[in-house]
Amino acid sequence: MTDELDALARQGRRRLEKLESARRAKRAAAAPPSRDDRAANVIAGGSLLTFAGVLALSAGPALVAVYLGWAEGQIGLAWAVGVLGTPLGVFLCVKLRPLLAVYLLARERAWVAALPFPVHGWFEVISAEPVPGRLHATLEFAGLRPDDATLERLIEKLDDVTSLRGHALVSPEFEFSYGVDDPTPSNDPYLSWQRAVLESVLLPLHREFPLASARFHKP
Amino acid sequence: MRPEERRAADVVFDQHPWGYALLFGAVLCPVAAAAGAMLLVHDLDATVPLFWGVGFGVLGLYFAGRWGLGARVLADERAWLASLGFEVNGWFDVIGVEVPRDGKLRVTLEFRGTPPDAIELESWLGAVGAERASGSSWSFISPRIRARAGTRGSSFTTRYYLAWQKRLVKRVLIPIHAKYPLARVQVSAVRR
Repeated sequence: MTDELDALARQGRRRLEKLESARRAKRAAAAPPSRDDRAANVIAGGSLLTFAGVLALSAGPALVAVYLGWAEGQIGLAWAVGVLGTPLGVFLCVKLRPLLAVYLLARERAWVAALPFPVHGWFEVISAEPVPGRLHATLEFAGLRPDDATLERLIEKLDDVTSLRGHALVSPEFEFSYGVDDPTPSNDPYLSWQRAVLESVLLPLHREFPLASARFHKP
Repeated sequence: MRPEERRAADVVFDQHPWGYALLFGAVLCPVAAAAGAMLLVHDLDATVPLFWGVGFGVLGLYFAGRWGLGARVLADERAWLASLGFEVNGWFDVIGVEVPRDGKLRVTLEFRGTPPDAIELESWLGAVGAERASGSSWSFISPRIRARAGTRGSSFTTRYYLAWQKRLVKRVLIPIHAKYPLARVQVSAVRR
């Protein structure tokens, strides 16, 4: 009877440990993502590399299976690749995407640091809590300041909704909703706007009127 | 029979050998009858009514049996509980509730002699997923027990409560009782 109780105790300890680790995992999942996680996810979500990777891993096995079955005539192998490869690919997607996101965040950091003028607030904006609102880009010039007409011309090339207020570019109001409230809001629109401003306003401007710095921030 | 006894009896019957027998019979008899008829007379026009007739007949027998044998089945269950050697309270209250809902059970143990080590007891009860209730060494809380098989469309039942209680007694309490005699076990629903 003691043996039975010992076996029972072993089983019980295993099960209680499992319960405890499940509870820990649940707590970890419920915890808000870290600022870096959020920034990394925003960058990965808009990245072509992520898109291509997810597409290749999830649809790749099926495409290979179709090729094998159709062109090579190896029906058995095609079934094996399709049936085993698709779940494997999806599993790899789920496991590899976070790693890719961290890599992309590091790459973005290096890229922003390598810009010809210091850019501040780039990562603060995309790692903040995603709430609807506007974004400002405040410019400081090293020497000559362009007149408003030059700036307006550049902004017109950017889009119709960004406006100029003093030394700052003001973004449109980002809403995060598609008819109903977005259930998973992301800072993606902010990142897109930052990139667009950098590409079509700041970099061309910097060639003629050197910038001392640019700062992205929420008013 | 009082209504709560009737509800408890229905649940107990489903996990009683008679309940299993009648439920399997309800499936097997019409199939066997139809197969036999097809083999013997090769007449589909006779087989189909036979299939439905036997099927509904056995199903009716199941419900009639559940209704008629309820008292016997409950008595059987009571006799089994009495034969355990320790008092079990609240067993039928838990499974006879009017509106079953997902929830947890509180199990309180009372030992006749020296109780076992609290840590050891905790690991034994862990084998059925029960965890020590805060504030007491002899009180345990079951894992969340569901009250219906699916999400929608399936009806609420206490059969999973009964299954967990039986697992608790057979896997955990009987071995414990053999070494550390139990005086009393109280089972009750955890109030939320």
